[in-house]
Amino acid sequence: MTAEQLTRPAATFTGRSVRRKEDDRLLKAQGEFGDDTPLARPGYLVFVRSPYASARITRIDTSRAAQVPGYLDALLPAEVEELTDPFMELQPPPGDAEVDRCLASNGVVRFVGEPVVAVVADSREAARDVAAAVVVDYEPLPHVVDARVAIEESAPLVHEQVGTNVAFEATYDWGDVDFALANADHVVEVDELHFHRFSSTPLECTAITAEYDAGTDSFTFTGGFATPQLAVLNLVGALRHPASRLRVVSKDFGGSFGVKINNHIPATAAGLLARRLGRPIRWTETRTEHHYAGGHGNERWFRNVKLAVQDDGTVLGVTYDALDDIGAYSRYEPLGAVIWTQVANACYQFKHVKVRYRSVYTNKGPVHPNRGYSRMQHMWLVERMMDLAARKLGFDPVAFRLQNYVQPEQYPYTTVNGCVYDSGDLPRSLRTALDLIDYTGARALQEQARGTGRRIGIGIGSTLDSGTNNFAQARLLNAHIPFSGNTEGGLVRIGADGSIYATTGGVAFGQGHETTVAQVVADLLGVTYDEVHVQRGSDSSLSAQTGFSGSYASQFAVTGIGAIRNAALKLVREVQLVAAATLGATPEEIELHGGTARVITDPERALPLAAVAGIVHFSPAELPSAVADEVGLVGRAVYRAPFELPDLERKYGNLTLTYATQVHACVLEIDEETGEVSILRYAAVDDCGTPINPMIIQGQVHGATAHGISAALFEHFGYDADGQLSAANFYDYHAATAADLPSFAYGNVVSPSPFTPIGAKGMGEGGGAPLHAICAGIQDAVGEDGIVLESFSPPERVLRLLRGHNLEKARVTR
Amino acid sequence: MNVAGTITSSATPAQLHALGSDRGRLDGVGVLSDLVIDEVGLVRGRFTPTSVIKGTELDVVIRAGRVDAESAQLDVSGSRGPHRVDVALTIGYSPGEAGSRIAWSARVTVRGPLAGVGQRVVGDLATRAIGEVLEQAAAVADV
Repeated sequence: MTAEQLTRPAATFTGRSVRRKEDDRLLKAQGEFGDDTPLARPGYLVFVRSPYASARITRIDTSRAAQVPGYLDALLPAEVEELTDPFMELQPPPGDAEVDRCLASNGVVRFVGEPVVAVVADSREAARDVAAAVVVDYEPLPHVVDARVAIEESAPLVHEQVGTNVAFEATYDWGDVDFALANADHVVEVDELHFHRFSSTPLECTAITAEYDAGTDSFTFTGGFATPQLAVLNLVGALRHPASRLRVVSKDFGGSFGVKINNHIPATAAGLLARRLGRPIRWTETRTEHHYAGGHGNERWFRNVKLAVQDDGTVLGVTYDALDDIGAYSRYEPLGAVIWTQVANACYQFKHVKVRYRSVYTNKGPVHPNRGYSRMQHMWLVERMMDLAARKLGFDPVAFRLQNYVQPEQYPYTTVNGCVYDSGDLPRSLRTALDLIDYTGARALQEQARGTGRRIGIGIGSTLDSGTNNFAQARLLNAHIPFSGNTEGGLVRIGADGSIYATTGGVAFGQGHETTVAQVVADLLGVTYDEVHVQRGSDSSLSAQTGFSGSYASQFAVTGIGAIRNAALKLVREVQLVAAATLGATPEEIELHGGTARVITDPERALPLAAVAGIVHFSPAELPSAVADEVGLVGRAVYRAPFELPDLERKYGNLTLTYATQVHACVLEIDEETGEVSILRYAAVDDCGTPINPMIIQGQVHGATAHGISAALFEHFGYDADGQLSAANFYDYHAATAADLPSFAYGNVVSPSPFTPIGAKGMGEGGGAPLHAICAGIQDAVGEDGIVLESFSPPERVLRLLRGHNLEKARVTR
Repeated sequence: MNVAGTITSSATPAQLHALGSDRGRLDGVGVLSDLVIDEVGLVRGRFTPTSVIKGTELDVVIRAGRVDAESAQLDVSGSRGPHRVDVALTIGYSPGEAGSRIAWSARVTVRGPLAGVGQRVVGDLATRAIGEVLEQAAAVADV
C-alpha cells in the first residue's frame, strides 16, 4: 500500500450531487457581478460605434458632446494610436499585418458596431447623451460580408495592409484521401454546406471597471476575464505598462461560454481613460453592443465535400474546403483553424481526412470562441455527411453510426492526426439516447403521421467535447508562438484558527467551481464540505494562477481540480509532518479524518486540524526545527497536463487530453403548412468520465442542450448586403426560453479517463449535439424532398426544404 | 428602401430653386436648427421632425448634388448615437395651380441598431419626416 493510499480517506463528497455553494448568494441576488460593485467618483464609459460596415472616418466632432452636462472626456482613435500598441496577432505573415486596437485603427471602420470614440461622463445616462452628441463623418468604402466573395481577388480588402482577406491558410492531409476516394465503393459529394453565426448569449454581458492608482502607477481591472493571465499580457502590451503593476480581478460573472476571452480590448480604452481622468471607469456592455462586437460563434462554409464509403458501410474518410468567416478582426483567431483538428475524426474511425482551411476576414463582427469552439462546426459537417450518406446509400442511420463509431475496446484511440481519444462508449451512449426517446415508438409515430400534414423526424447527434488543450497547437499556426502543454494552479491552506481556504486559478462563470473544489478538498483533508472556504472569482496577483489559468476549453475538472488536488496533497503532507511530530508517530502513520489528524493504528491519538494550525501559526517552537522550517500549512501546486510538442510538418500529435462525449436524439414534428418545427422528445446522454458532482454535470448538459436547440432553430446573426446586423437585440434575436423547449430526458454513461487525476473529463461544451440532432431530425422528416445543408433551420427554410431545397447540391457519384 | 411623396406649395418653382442659394431662409424651417456651412461647404445642423417619434433629434449633414431650375438632388445623413440614416433625395418641382407641385423620392438607408428593429417602421417615419421638412422649406420659400 502506498503512502497516498494509506492516508487518503474514502471519498465522501466527490461524486455526490451536493448542493452548490454558490447558489445561496446567487439566488438571493447577493452575487457581485461586474456592474454591482459601488465605486467612488466613477466615470461611465460609452462607446460611439460605427454604423458602417466599411468606411473611412473623415471627421470627428466632439465639441457639442463636451457641452453635455456631466461630460468628462472623449478618447479618439488618433489618441489610441499614440498611446497604445496594437494587440498581439497569432497568425504569421501576411495576416500579422492586421492592426487591432480598442478603437478603430488607421482611420477606418471595418464592421457595424466597431468602437470609434470612447466617451466618459459622470453618470451612465449622461454618458449616453454625450455619445449621442458626438458627430462622426464617414466616407463609405466597399465592403464584403460573404467569405466566399471575400476570397476573390477583386474583393474589397478588410485590412488593406494585409493585402488579402485570407488571414490564415493551411492544408491538413492525414492518410490518403485521394486514394480512398478513388477506390471507395461509394463517394457521397456535397457542393456546399453552411454553419451559421450565433451568440454565446451570456446572461450578463460584459462589465469592466478600470482603476488607476497614480501613487503606485498601477492598474486594477475588474470584470469577466476568462483568461486572466493572458488578459494581463494583452493589457500590458497594449498599454505599455509593466505587468507587475497591473492586476486583473473577477468576482461573480454571468456566463462566458468562450466569448469573454477578449475583454482586454474594451478594457484598454477604460484603462486609458482611468489614468487620464484619475477616477475609476466603468463600462457596462448592452445586449445590442454584445451582439455587434461581443463575439460571434465561427461561421463556416464547407465546400467540395466528399465522403468515401464502402459497400459494407465502413466510412473511410472525408475531405472538404473550409472558409471560416472570422469577421473583421482575428482576435483569438485563427486558432479555430487548428482547434478543429482536436476532433478530426469526430466520433468515427476515419483513416483519411483532408481539409483545406482558410480563415477569412469579412466586414462583420469578429468571432470569439463559443461553446464547442471550432470543433462543433467540423463535427456538424461530419454528422451531416454521415446522415446523408446513410440516407443516400440506404443504410440504417443507427446501424451506420454504431458501425463507424470508435468502439469502446479501441480506447485509447489514436486519430488520423495523432490525437488520443481517452475513453468512451459511444454505442452505449447512442442506445441509451434512443431508449430515452423510445426510438421504436417514434418510428411508429412517424408512420402514423404520414399524410396528415405533419411530418415526424428522428434525429441523432453525436459529438465530442475535447478538453484540456495542448497549447502547442498554436505552433501549427505559427511555429514561433512559444506555447506548449497546459497547466493550472491551485492553493489550499489552513489559517491560524484551522479554517481551510482554497483558491483556484480557474475562473468561474457559473460552472460551480466553488462547489467542486470544496468537494475534492474536503475529501482529501478529511473535513466536511462546508468547512472548505473557496475563494470567489479570480485574482491575477494571487499565486494560484499560471499563465494558462482561466476557464475555457472544458478543462476545469482536469486542470483546475488537478491543481487543487495536488495542492491539497501537499497540505496533507504538512499536516502529517506536524501531527507525526506531536503525536509521536511517523508521517506515513497519520491520516486525516473527521477534522483531525490521527494515527491510523490508534485513532484515539488525534489532533484536531485547529490544533495543528495553532501549533504551526502560534507555537512553532513545539515542533522540531526541521518540521517547523518546512511547514507553513500552505499547499500551492500546479497541475501539468502530460503533453508533448506535435510534429509541425505533419501536423501530427496529441492536442487535447480528454474527450467527453455527448450523444443526443430527438423526435420532432414539422408543420407542412408553416414550416414550424416542434420538438416532441429530446434526450441527451453525457459521458464525461468520473463525475465530481452529477447534478452540476446534468445542469451543464441541460444548458448546452438549450443553447444548441436555440441555435438550430432560432438564433442567427444574419447580415444584410449592406453589412448591417439584422438581429442586434433580443427583439430580433430570439434566444430560446423554457416555453420553446421540451423537457429533456437525461442519461449518462461513465467512462473514466485514464489520463486524468480522478478520471474526470472537462465538459459543458456539448452545444453542438443539438444542432446535429435537429438537422438530422429535420432531414428525416423531410425525406427525399430536400437536403439539410444549413445548420440554421427557421420555418421559411424548412418550407423550402419541403419544396426541393438543395437537392441539386448533393449526390452519390459512385 | 425607396420612399416618395408629393406636396403642393404656394411658392413658385423659381422661389423654390432660390432656396438653395439662400441658406438664411432655411433658418425659418422650424424642424431645422443650428444650421452652419462647414469648411468644405456642407450644411450641418440638427433636424427635429415633429411628425415622427417625439424627441427624435438628428445631427444632419446635407450635401447638395445637381441642382437646376426643376430639380435638386441632395445627400442627407442623419445620425443620433449609434443610429444613422442616409438619404439620397431627389426633389422635382413643377408649376402647379397655385404655385408648385413638388414631387420627391428618396433612397433611404438605415444603419446601426436602427437597421434591425427600425426597418419595420422606418419607411413610414422617413416619408413623414422628409415630407415635413420639405413642406416647411417650401413655406419659407414663399415668404
